[in-house]
Amino acid sequence: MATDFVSARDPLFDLYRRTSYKLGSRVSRQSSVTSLGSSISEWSFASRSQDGGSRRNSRKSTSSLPPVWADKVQPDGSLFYLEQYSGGKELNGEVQSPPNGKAPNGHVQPEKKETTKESGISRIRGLLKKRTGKNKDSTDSGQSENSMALYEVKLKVDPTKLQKEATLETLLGIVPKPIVRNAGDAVTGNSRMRQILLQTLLPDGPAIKATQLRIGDCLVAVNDFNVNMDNINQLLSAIVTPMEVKLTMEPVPEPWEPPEPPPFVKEPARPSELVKLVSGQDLSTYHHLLEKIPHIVMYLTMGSDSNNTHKEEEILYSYPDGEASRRLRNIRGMFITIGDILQNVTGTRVKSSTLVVDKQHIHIGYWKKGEHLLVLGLPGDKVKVEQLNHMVSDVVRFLTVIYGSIESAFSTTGNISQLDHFFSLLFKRVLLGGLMSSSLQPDDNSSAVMDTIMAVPTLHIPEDIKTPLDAALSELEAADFADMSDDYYDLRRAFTVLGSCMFYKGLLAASHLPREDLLDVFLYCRYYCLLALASEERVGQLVLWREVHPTRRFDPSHGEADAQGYSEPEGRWFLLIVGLRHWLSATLLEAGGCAARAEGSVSPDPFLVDQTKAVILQLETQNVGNLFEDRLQSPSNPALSCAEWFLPSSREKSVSNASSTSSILGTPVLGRHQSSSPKPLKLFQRSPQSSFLQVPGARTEGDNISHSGSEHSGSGVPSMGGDSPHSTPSLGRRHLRKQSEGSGSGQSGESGNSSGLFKLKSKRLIPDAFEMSNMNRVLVGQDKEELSYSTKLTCGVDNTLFQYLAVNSAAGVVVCPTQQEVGRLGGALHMDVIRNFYRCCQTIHGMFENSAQVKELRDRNVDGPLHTESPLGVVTEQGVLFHCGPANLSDSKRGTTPTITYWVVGRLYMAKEPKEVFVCFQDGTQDNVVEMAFKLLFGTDL
Amino acid sequence: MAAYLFCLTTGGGVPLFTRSKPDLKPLPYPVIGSLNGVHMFGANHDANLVSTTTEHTKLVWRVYHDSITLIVISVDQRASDSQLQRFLDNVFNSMVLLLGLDELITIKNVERLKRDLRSCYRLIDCLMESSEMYGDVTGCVDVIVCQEQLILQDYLDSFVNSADSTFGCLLVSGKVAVATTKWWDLTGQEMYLLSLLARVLPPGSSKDIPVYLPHGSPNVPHRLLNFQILQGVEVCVLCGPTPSLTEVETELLDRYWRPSMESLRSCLRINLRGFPSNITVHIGVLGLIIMNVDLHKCLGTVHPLSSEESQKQGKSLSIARRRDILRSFYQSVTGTVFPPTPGTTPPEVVENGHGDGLASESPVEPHTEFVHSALDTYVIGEDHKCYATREGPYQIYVLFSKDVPKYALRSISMTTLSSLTKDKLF
Repeated sequence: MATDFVSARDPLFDLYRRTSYKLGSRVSRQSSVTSLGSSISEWSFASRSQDGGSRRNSRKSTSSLPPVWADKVQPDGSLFYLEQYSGGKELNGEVQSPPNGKAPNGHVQPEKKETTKESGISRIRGLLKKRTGKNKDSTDSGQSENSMALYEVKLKVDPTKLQKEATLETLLGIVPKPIVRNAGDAVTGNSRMRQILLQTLLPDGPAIKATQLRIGDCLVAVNDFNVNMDNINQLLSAIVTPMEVKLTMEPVPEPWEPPEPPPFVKEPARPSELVKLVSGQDLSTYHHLLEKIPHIVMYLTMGSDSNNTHKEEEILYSYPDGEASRRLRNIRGMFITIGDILQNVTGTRVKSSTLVVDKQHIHIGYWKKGEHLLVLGLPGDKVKVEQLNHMVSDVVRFLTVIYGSIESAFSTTGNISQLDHFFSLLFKRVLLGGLMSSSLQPDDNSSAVMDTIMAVPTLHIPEDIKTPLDAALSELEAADFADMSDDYYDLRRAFTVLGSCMFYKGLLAASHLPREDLLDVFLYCRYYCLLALASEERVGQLVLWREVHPTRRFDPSHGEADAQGYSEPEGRWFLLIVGLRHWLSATLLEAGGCAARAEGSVSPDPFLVDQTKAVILQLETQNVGNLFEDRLQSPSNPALSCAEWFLPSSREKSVSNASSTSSILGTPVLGRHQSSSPKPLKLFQRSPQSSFLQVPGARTEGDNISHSGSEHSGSGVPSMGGDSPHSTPSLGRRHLRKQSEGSGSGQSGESGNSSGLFKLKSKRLIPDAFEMSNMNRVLVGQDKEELSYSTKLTCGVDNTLFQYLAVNSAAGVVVCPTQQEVGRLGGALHMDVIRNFYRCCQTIHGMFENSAQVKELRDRNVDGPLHTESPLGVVTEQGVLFHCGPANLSDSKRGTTPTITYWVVGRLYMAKEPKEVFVCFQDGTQDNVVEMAFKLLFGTDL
Repeated sequence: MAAYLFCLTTGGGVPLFTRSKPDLKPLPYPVIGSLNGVHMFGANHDANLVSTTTEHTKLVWRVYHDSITLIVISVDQRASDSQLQRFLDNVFNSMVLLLGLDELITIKNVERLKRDLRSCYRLIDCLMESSEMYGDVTGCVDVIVCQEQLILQDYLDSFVNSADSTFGCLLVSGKVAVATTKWWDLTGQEMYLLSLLARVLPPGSSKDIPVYLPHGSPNVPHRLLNFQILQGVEVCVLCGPTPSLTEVETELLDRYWRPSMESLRSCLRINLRGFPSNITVHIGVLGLIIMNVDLHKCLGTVHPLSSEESQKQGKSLSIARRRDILRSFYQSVTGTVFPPTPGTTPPEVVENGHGDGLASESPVEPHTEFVHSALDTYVIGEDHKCYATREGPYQIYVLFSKDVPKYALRSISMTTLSSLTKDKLF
């Protein structure tokens, strides 16, 4: 796709760029959008170029063309606008119905979606409408034919016109849904996973002409031959002459679909479950599942007269109202009393209680301030007490950030629906995590431990991919929009950008925010499931704007040590989140301080929204998204092993595997793991410390490596047997890096031409040294493999590392392999290992938290009769050895009798801000080798 | 660990007794009343309050046989529910041991019960302090291992037989040196409480007290005859109405035990260390607990080295601190990393009215369960290292000085375990 794009773009792009010099940078960005064929139809070139000259006006008054979300802005200025990405390029333009009355920002009336916009919608729009109409027909007919029954579609195909091999895409114009590989599938051979599900219909394919076909349905047979993903292309390639094929389709029912779609959803692309949940359209979808699970959140006041308990006067807020929850609500008196007396008895804050109701453990978390008590209750089989404690503090922090204080959150009546939505998301995420197909929880295993770690999951990316990202964000933050900025007109600017951060598929890619701000933003995204949304599906467009109260400004205990004579400026702060596809960009803005003071309700600035979008689109044009995707798809870096590889039986198998891929490798483990890479030798030459500095993206670098490899360790490789810890000469490494830097800057000359993509670069003398697109052009198609090399953290022949998790609380980030990486390693046993790893992390993390607390109390010299330090003191390391023997496995697996022993070790580095690393590796690994794994925390540029 | 202990009647909420650590001021009655009231309120609404955690403390409520409510306030908020429940079990069972279960279930006269319960204070106070015994946390009885075990076993067996009993044991400073086979059939908790009782009894050469076995015969009393043979060496016999104390003391004691004096003296010499001098441990070992889960016995020591060796070792952790660390390490491992040792009664069982301690294992919350079983674990602190491993019925928890390198921990622990268990001495 990338090649297509580059070649297709060039003439167009040059034209646009020339115009852009005349029209100003804004248009240039618009044009790049259009040339990308982006999903946002409103951004058509025609409309924008007319608009270009009057942009200054539109910035202030938005008169000429209001953005699509303009009418969704609430009276208080906040905005939540979510547009679903509807799959194929041509099927877009469908604007996802707005969140109804229960949306995060309240009172949007359910309204009919107007497909036509009055002004500025170009011809493309018209085209789209036609297609929309068509699709509508097909949907209706599909529905009227009634679900479940198979239906048949006849298509005329002509393979002779094809240049390429006949596939679903080329011959029929059907894009199948990619297969999601789950852990157990390889073993069970899950046939459902091999189904051909229609994801998209190509605009020029024959399939789109067949009106009955419905996206999401399953292709069962072609000309009465049963087909699946394995045999379909083979079958289609047998068609050599033009003919009519008969497709047998099976409608796939969507689980938990409400019986009747809300009347305003007229579009064929139905909102996915996740979108519905996030936008708060349908809070009752999972109601029947939650009904029986006791869970509650209450905000109680102790001030009321206790004689009137039946009037529920002391309940200021409570959610939900299910049967099981009502029981918990009835015993609120207990919570109030506990909150009250225990504080008196022990002199310390009450944190949690455990109850047994109907033989089920229920944990109750408390947060008390003054007369008021926040109570959060969840069943013990879903959350541990520690996790609950963290959730309570997260909720408190979240509500404080959004509403300024807990009191104001619960006392303002207008907030109720927003709170309902927030808590329903919270409960669904925690209670139904495993059940929900759309998985609000991106990673089922790690979510529990992630809840207890106050840090942002981060994607570790090589410097050279990160740099354009950072550069793009920096430019946005600089807010130097030349003649479009307020400064240019001697006006005081409305907002100062305090910082921004970027998520890709729910993982933090870059952050220019101070830690506390980052955590605020992260909490917001996580609790509103925005991260899950962005990682699960492509977002058409998401614009979110609201006033926030950052913890750093409002809670002095979280703030940095005040510099003498300096205080943060007074002002108001706003959070702008813009999402496009898998990207999510969050920007924190300040009004006041050096920007103009904001008064009344402040609505989002369309210009800023556009700029933020432009950043994302620029990254897309630079192909950064694809590089990220490559990073996610490539074997994990640092390299991980799969537990199954260490089983005796599979070892033999993998030996044969390895020898087929590469005879150089004496070791089955590496061979199997690295079978994707044709040059596994590099693994040995790579020294661990350089891991994160290596630049998988650059072709030139790859050459360097093979060079230096032959220089330094050409003879060293064969002698690598045994467990001798290998070390690349550090000199070589430095040398190597220098070379790569040199080549990087050498390239900058040629790559300068595309830097105009983003903003008007007329003032900029030095071309952007980190431009990627040129390198990519070289890269694409040629050296894809180069992207996929990875680094071993452990030394020795076998890579014995199974899993890692690094927490850096100073930066507020956490690094661990993505679920995809883990999933790719596969293996039921391995998944067990991972699950166990995370559980163990939770235990060890609890220990470390205690250590941190002990340390803090020591520093503060707290000593009371009711406080004694735990005799273990400050624990800095804990390890657990696990044994997986036949006894652990269920009967079905017992035949293979695998045994494996592995360690889960956590280590705490007590600096000013503690860092934690958890690793999981096979037993028998030598200690010096394990030590190497811990360098993870220091090798990263966290 | 436990700072306050309250005992109330479940029906009326009448406080029966309150124990607290000596340096704490007693809590006023209304506070105790409302602590109990909260629990009662919940129970009336079918919601059983189990525990509550505050920043530095933890409270656990427990009702026994719908009659006695125990509340404990612990100053260690990391303590798990099951740990504190075990403590309350120990407290309740020591009340049963001295008063019998009937007395506690059917309370006829509260004032009388209050008076009767005073006899339990010493036992309960002993439970609240962390002593050099580990039986309260492990649920097993503390033992020592001596070379003369076989000889002493013969002496004990014939002595107990002649006293018309099958239950008897020899205690060396409160720890069991040898015991009859029947004695080992008692539950770990019973054995522990009996040896604790022998420890807290007022000094004297011979004693005869009625005891109810909390699990074996909670309603029918037996007689516990206790004789001091040497300073620190006692022999206990559980028997029926005969023979009388004087009979045994005058006729049997001297006859059966005089020949064994030498063996007993050598037993006393190792009492601090807990195991014979021919078993050596690594110089870096500061203390250890070894457990036999099947036989309900544990051996804990913080003097694992001979005196010369410990001088060589130089200055290290104080004895009290070693004990605290070992206890705390044990508690942090069992129930979280290692499966909990049997013997803790789940609250439901107790509250349904049939609270025998071995009924079933406490329901483990799914989250604490690991997919695979943990074999070893270690913890590295600022001034110490700890290692725990288990093999078959054995578990060993070793405390090392901080100078021992990490890679040695496992092999030293393994060697220590095998040298202590090799001759079936333990």
